[in-house]
Amino acid sequence: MLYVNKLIKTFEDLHAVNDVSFQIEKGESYGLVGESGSGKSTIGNMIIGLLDPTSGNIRLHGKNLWKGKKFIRPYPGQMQIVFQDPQSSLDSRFRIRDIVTEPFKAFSRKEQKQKMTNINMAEIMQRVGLHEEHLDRYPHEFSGGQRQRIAIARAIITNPEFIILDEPTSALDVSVQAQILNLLKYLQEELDLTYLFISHDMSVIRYMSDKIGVLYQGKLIEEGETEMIFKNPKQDYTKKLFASLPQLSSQGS
Amino acid sequence: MELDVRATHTELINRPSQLRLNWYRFRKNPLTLIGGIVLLLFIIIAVAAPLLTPYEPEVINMENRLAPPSMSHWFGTDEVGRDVLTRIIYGARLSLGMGITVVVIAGLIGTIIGAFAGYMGGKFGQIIMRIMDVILAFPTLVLAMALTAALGPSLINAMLAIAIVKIPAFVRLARSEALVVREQLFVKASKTFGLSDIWIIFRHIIPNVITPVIIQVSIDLGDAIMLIATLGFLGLGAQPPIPEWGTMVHTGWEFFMEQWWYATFPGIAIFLATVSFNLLGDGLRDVLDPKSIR
Repeated sequence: MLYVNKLIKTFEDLHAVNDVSFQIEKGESYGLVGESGSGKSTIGNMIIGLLDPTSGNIRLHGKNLWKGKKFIRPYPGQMQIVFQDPQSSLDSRFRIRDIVTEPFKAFSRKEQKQKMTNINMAEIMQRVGLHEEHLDRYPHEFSGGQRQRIAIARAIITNPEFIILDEPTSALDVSVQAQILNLLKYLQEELDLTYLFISHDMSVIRYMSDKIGVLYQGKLIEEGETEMIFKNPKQDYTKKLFASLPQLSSQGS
Repeated sequence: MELDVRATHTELINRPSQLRLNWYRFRKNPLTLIGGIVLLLFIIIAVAAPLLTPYEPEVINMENRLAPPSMSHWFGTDEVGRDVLTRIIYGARLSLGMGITVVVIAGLIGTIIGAFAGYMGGKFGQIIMRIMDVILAFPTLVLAMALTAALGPSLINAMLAIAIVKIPAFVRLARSEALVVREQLFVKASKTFGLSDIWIIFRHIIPNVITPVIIQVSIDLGDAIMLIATLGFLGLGAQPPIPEWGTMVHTGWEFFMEQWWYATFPGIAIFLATVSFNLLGDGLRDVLDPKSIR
């Protein structure tokens, strides 16, 4: 469904993303893992249209997303992104209702009206574990995890087929992280979503992804089925990443 | 597998009411309160002008010219027998009305230009800022005088000139705030929805830069009233017989040695209005922008 082909992004002389190719199939959850500065978010930003690639191409259903420096937007809301920091991703001046329905504002007035009448806000809010009465509140009244749920509601409201999750849980408490990850899994099944899951956290990636790509200094150094890579990492760097995981040892008695 | 997708904590965070907090900060500063009360009086006077005085501001009564303060004319009369108090009361309408209009217009235009300059950045932003620097390079009063002199002395031209000299400060302020806001993730999110730059500027950037602009407006109001009066005093602003405070001081000046009341009372009005606006502006800044408390 999504093809990333020989993607390169340079900032002056820094190769942030260096010749990266991968593809994501429909319904799949693809995990991009790497330490900070490895170029994972840069790739996400290029796919969603926030950053133009230096070269290479990105195709969604065979259609190029970038023509030179110009982003050819697919149908509005077909692709969505959930950012890392839920404090800054919701405008504190907006009511939750306006935040969640903001993606519709990109449509013509007529389509907006139609969409607003068709959409069941209560259902959307319930889906992400919130209540309808939260719609008239402001973001500062919610905790980090609840804010991330609001951001997720904003992402699913357009019925997207593809969502980029850019470290969606790394700004949250550990207990809340698990809730959000479960919510994302549930939504993927329920709404038949395709994910690009970006994270530096190996355990989160393992839990979420069917397939993973390991990024190191802008290069995709290893790729494959999640369990395969976890059982048999080929690259030294990947092994080092695994070594950073806390181990649970079982001691027989 | 059973998935727990419900929020375990759906109760909302309780915070002390922002309004009460603001009112507390406002109250604890007595100077702000005094400024606010004086200003409120001025506004009441301006609104209720015809009810407060039996005289008309522009009706001439030559038999009673340059009369000293008395029970029937508290602040005396001027060189054509008009009641000075009446003219000051009607002048409050003018000064307050003009001052507020000018600063609000300058604030509005400045904010929009600044938001565009900050959000767009690049060459466009640079060009705008250099133009603003040119205006800022002149002292406000000198530039306002030059502009009114060039446009021709009149109240409207004085307002226009003051608005022009006031815009750059707002542009700078709004731009520097917009530079911060545009990096926020909610702006990036809006871009990914395919929303236009115009929409983002008016719905996200401007509402998020408006608080410091409001503070600046309240601080600038006193200054604008002062400028209007100054231009009037120099003969560049409102022209006689309009009851404008600065213009009254200008005419009253000739009679100052013998008829002290003519220039003194409008002068006191200018002083009170300017000072109370400044006090209120400072207080408002402390309330709305607690970071700036010295």
